[in-house]
Amino acid sequence: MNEQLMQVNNISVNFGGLWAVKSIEMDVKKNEILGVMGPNGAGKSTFLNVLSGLQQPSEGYLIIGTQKISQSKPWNMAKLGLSRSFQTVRLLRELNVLDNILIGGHMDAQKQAWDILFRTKRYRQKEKELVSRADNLIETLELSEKKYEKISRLSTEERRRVEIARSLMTQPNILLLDEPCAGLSPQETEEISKLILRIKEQGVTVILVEHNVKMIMSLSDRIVVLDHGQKIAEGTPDEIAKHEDVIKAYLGGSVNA
Amino acid sequence: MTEFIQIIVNGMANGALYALIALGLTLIYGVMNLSNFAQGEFAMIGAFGTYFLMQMHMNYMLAIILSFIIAGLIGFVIHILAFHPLRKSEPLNMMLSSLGVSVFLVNLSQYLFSPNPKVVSNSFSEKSIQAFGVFLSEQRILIVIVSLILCGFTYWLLERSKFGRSVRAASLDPDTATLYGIPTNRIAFLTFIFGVALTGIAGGLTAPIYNVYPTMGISLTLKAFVVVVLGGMGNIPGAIMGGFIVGLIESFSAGYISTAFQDVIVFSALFLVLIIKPEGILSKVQGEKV
Amino acid sequence: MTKTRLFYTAITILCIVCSIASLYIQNLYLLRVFILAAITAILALSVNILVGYTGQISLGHAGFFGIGAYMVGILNVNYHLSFWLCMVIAVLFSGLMGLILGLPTTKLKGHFLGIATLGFGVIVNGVLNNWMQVTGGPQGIRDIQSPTLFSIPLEYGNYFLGFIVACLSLLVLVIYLLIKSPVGRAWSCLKQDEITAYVTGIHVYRYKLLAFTLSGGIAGFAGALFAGYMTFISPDTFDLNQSISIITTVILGGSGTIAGPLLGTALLSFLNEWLRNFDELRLVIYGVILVAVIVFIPEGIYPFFKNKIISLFSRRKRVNQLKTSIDPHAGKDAVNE
Repeated sequence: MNEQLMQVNNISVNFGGLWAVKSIEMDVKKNEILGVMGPNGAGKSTFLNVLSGLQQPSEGYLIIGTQKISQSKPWNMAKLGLSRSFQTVRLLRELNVLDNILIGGHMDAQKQAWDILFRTKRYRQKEKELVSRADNLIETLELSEKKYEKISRLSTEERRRVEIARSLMTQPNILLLDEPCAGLSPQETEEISKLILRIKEQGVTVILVEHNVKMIMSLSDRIVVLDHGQKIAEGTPDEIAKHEDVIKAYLGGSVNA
Repeated sequence: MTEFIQIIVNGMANGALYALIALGLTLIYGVMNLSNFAQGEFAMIGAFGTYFLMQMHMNYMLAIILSFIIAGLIGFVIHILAFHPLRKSEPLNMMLSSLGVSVFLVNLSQYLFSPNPKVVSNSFSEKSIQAFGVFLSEQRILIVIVSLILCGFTYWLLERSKFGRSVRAASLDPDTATLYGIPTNRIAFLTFIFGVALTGIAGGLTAPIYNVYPTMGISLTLKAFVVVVLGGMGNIPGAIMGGFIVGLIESFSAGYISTAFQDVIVFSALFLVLIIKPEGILSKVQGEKV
Repeated sequence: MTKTRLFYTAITILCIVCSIASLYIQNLYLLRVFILAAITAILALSVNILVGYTGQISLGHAGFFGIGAYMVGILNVNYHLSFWLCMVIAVLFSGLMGLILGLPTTKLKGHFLGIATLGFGVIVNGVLNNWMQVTGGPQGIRDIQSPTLFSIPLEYGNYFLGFIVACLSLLVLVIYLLIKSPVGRAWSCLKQDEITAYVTGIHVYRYKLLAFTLSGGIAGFAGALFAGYMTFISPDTFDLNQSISIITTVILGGSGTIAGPLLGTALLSFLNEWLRNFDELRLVIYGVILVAVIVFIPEGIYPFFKNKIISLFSRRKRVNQLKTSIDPHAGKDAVNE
């Protein structure tokens, strides 16, 4: 339970003199839901971009497994077992649900020219396997009815589920969810919450960035609070709820950095 | 040494011309987000305008001023037909549309006026002044003077006038500009017309030196793009500087390497810039909102 | 997977029928039109890999076409290598040029990519025109040997057409297999959204380079066939107008589909012959077509009519779908795009 998956070491990001993220340190343990919260502009999204390789940190490094990563190409992070969703859903609007989820299977697919051009047995088997994996995900995420619908015909909540399915299709160790409930109704939020718990049960670690305090408090095993790019608190939901700095940050008091 | 100075002087004269065309190109890019591959064709239109007006015994300077208006009018029509309907579509579509416009204009004028070069002669092109062993025709001096005046005027227009403020606002953030009551569509219209009309003047200015023929615009477009990429897309002082740089590269390669490979060398310079100094030229992957 | 099998069968039958039919065309003029159209179709398919499937614009494709043709011309005439060996070298070399062009330009987007590829076309054309010792300059290269395939002389138009139809069918098949494969999925992903490609572990630059290389190689292949058929090549076949007319072909037919570029080729080849007596006006009309297609049907003719026909047949189904597709958040996402 307490096995460490990823270690965040002194990660900082500087945007032209402004520290969007400053010296963040934390551990991510196996099979937990780690909540990351903080008021607007606290650097949550930038931090998530660093974890998913879309933003290079100005300082600091990550340790994933035994590898030390300071500057990384974005496509490598997916190979290291990190997958993410976005605050504004990023899907290929012109493709249907199945095809979108299949994109997530890219890393496992057979891509040798020989296999593709001659449709070798292992190639066909692999493709079949990917499709059945995608089918399973579609079923788990209750998207069966929409399997062949174009993304542009889905509701926001359905799109979020498709995006999560695509992330799971990459078979990540760590799933980063960037405000999965932004713009959803309370019922839909409830649905997504259940889904996140189910993902955890399957052995995937979830890093959850969320605005909705109630939701993050109820779901997370541990919570890290950011403000002005810095970590101001870390602990169980109960500890966080009582933490003075957190209350100040959320009530608008200035936390002296 | 004289040869060296002569090359520099020639390069500066061509550079002024490129700067003028690139100025129009960069203005249009800044406001409409359009890479206008038909830019040089407006120089061709301006040159033909000048040629025909002078056939009617009009004064050269007056002909040039009228060619500004002719290029502007044709620009107006083309904007309505080929660019205005695409204002909300992808910028790449506008670029392809401008390619279509370019092919259309070049081949139409080839059909109407025949591909043979036409000679424009005025009082400036025959005379030249000599100083320190360097020859410079009065026409080239005229080009430099007019180009610099127009560049200066455009700069003043953008920095100081109300129109210029609207243009800058529209190029920085069209949506916000619209919210503040700036008529971005009209601004785009005016910018396009002004940009191509400037190029029309450039065409009238080159006519006495390089003659007038339908395909003259193509290489001007290409040079103008090199200039704009060198100077940074949408950057006006950059376009002026870039114009002189390209003019110099060109005349040095013509002087010391080969006239035939002039274009090849200029474009290789473009590739070099794209590879070595991609800042401001690079895609905006880093800044894209995630 | 039945769809793939269906496609195989259709392509095979079409290939056989066309090849046999090509042997019976008596009209030499018609034969020439068909052969040139088939070469254009190969060229259009190569541009489509970049423009349609990968979303990379290419305004200098005549450069690759020219490199392929000139490799065959130079090696065949000056070094007396056999046509087939020349062709293999031409394809590899133009593929390599595609890779080399791709290296600096894959990091560019939109406008800059357009300008850079256009520059590539201009540079190649400049070299063909001015490197007299090797390319023969504006006079071009004459007397390229016509290929012979298993002792069948392809200098006869019928045989050449049969051969080229077979090549075209094979190419269509290969492209189809690629598009349906993980490679095609990766391409379509990076075309629509590079950031999604990043987070799903797609090595974006590698896939763009692959597209550049393939596209360059196929265009070079078209060039080699052109040289073998015409036996005479000169730089003005490989100029900016050629690049623009290829991209017009693809966009007119519908980029990002297999049938689109083929349809575009058929339409424009027909138009070319129809306008034969007004050759000066041909490119004027190309210009108008390019602008008109982009303004009125930017997706291209084939997808446009396909969608029209599909919606005609499924009107009832659409009414049902409309009920379910009312999306309260559609507006919001459109803003976020």
